[in-house]
Amino acid sequence: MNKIPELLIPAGSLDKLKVAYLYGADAVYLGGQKFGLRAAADNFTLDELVSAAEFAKKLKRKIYVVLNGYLYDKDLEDLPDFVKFLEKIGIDAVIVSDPGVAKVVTQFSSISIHVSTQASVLNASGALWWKDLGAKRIVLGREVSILEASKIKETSGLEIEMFIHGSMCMAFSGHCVISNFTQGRDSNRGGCAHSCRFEYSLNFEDLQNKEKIKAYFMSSKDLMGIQRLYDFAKAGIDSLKVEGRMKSPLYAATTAAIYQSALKYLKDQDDIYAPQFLHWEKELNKIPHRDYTEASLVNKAQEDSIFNSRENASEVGYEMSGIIKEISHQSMIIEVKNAFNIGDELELLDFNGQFQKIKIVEMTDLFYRPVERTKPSTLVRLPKVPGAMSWQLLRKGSLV
Amino acid sequence: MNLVFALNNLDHIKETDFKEIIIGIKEWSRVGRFSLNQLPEIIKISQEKKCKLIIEWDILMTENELEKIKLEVKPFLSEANCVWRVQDVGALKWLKDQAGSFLIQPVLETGHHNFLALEAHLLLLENKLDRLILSSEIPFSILSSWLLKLKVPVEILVFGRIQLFYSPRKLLSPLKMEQAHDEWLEASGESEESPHKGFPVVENRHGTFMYHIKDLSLLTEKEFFIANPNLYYRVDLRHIQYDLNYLKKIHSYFETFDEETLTEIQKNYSIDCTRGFSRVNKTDILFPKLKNHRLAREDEDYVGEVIDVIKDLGLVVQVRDVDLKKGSRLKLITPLGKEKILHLESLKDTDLKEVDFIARDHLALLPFISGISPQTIVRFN
Repeated sequence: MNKIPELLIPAGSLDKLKVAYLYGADAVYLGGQKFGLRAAADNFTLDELVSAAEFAKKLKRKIYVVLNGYLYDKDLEDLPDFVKFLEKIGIDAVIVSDPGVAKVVTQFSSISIHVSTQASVLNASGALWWKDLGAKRIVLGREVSILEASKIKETSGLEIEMFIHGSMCMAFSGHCVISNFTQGRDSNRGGCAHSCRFEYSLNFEDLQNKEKIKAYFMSSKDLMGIQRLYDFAKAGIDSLKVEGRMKSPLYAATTAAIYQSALKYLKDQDDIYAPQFLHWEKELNKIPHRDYTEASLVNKAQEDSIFNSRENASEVGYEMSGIIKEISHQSMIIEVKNAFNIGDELELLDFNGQFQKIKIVEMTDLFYRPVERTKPSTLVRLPKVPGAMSWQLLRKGSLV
Repeated sequence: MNLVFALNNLDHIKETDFKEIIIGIKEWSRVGRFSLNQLPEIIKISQEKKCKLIIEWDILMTENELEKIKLEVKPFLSEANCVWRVQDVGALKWLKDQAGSFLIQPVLETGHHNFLALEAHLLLLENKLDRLILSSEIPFSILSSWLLKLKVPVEILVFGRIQLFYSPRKLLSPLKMEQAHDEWLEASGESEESPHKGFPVVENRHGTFMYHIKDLSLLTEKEFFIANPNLYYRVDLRHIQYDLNYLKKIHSYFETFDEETLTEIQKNYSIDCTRGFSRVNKTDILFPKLKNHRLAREDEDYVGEVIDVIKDLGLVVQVRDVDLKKGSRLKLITPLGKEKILHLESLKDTDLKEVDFIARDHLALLPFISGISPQTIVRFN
């Protein structure tokens, strides 16, 4: 395979950024305190952006900052200084959805512009429209198939990025304002209330006398495109994006490790054989998710892409038990995220996506006092295991 | 006043004397009901009436879909009185690059909340631009400031449905255990999230659309209309069985603004209405409340955050971007806003050894102070 796509992982915080890179991200995308679409994420302060850029450069990886909110004139006042700052610290690209923002970026810097999926670019002519505005890369809407994406790349000459994993909106990106009118929260400025995930009662005109139909009819399944990796690469797609800046470090680690393993396998073998997918899909099933779909990657998404269930209905998925903060001679210091007990079996996920099982037979607090059951937001010491490194994650769960 | 009416009835097109009308061809339009083979007749009628015909091409299209529709649209580009109203930027770009004297109306109802975004379209479309179609989310105060600078015509919706959601997927037919088809399917929805009932939901060949339970009506804003006589005001009642006389009454209201006519119009409209965001848009005011501001990191003097509290024994701090030295004076701010000052006379590492400093990105063990919880922010004082 001539060219393997870049793997782009979300970084909702500085810790998630480090986890993403260590577990295999070629690039990460993140938001500053303003201008983006995720108001509730731990968006990066200026100092954190500097740290993030330094960390990225040290590992020779790429880093992109989102400026993809629909901004008003008053929002644009601070943008020039921020853009200049981003260029100064070495950010590789900004992700925009508004042509006014693109204008500011080109006027005040020479940072590359990537066009967000929020702009709903779905065809080659749309890509060319943005090329006229200075865009270097297009993040295509999730309604576009891999085959269509290949045509768009060929016609436009631009880099093409596509989503490969994560939550999806049912609506065309940028074309849902439900929460604007029902909750007073602008869904395109960071306030989306996920109105699509609620249950609706529907009354059909021609079924006046019948009971209402209840359904989560606007809730989409999650995207998982790992089986199409070969097709993405063959189509020349430049970047494969995982959704999820608000999701956990375990999500960032697992998606980074598994998709990177798969990409490396593809590069080495020039193809992917069916049995390999079983292992990777099994690992991707370990992160909490809605049912998976390939959505429109090959054919248009049909009714089997609807997740007609309440959120969190699924009991499948592992939870993050903790993260290794430091390693000393004899012990690993774990920051506990979800409680676990003596006798539990955890899995330590290494940076290649392989895991080793660890049975908890002894643990103490930082002062070496025995602990039977941990509590979130505390530290515990576990005996050091071979291969353990700082920033590796521990998880617990089962697929049954 | 410049009024633009959307029509979906051929008889109405024949009878009307409106100077410009919007029509939707169902193959190209989200809500249009005319079929493509009716378009030649509609064009002929509008040309005879010397009426500007605005053809709605406002669906979003992936590559294959756009390629197909380009072939359908192209033969009509030479029609003298036709103007093209498009939302997809690919359609916009393609039209712009076609030869011909036809004009384009870009639909900027999604985003485009700043003046520079509008300018981008002015620059790209140049002399092919007919009019900008602006978002209903823009309050009049912002719109008025733009109108002082804009040298091109602008249109806003003054009476019609508010679209909340547009999906390419067909979401109603599975609920009726039907195969998805291209025909019109309607339902009324009620969400467990919101106390509102009766969101109109429509499925057709282009996907699924959801609308607000109330329609937008700005008919009472006559002061704004009088102050802005050059604006174009759109009336789109295609979702109801409108009467042409009713539209004519609206047209006459805009000539006189008399209260009696307004009352009659409102009395004969069965759907509740809202002024939307015309007066003010406060949809981003909630954002600062989404997070505990005390947990927000402020870069100046920031040391790190407490990640464990061991009663009577110590506080464990994740040190961030600075080295922490023994002897430092620190301020600790809890999530509830309590502040404590600490002079760091003792500093240990995670081996419990006394040290002179802890390097950035490492854990530091500080003396225990009561009243401190995890997530407490630590700053130099």
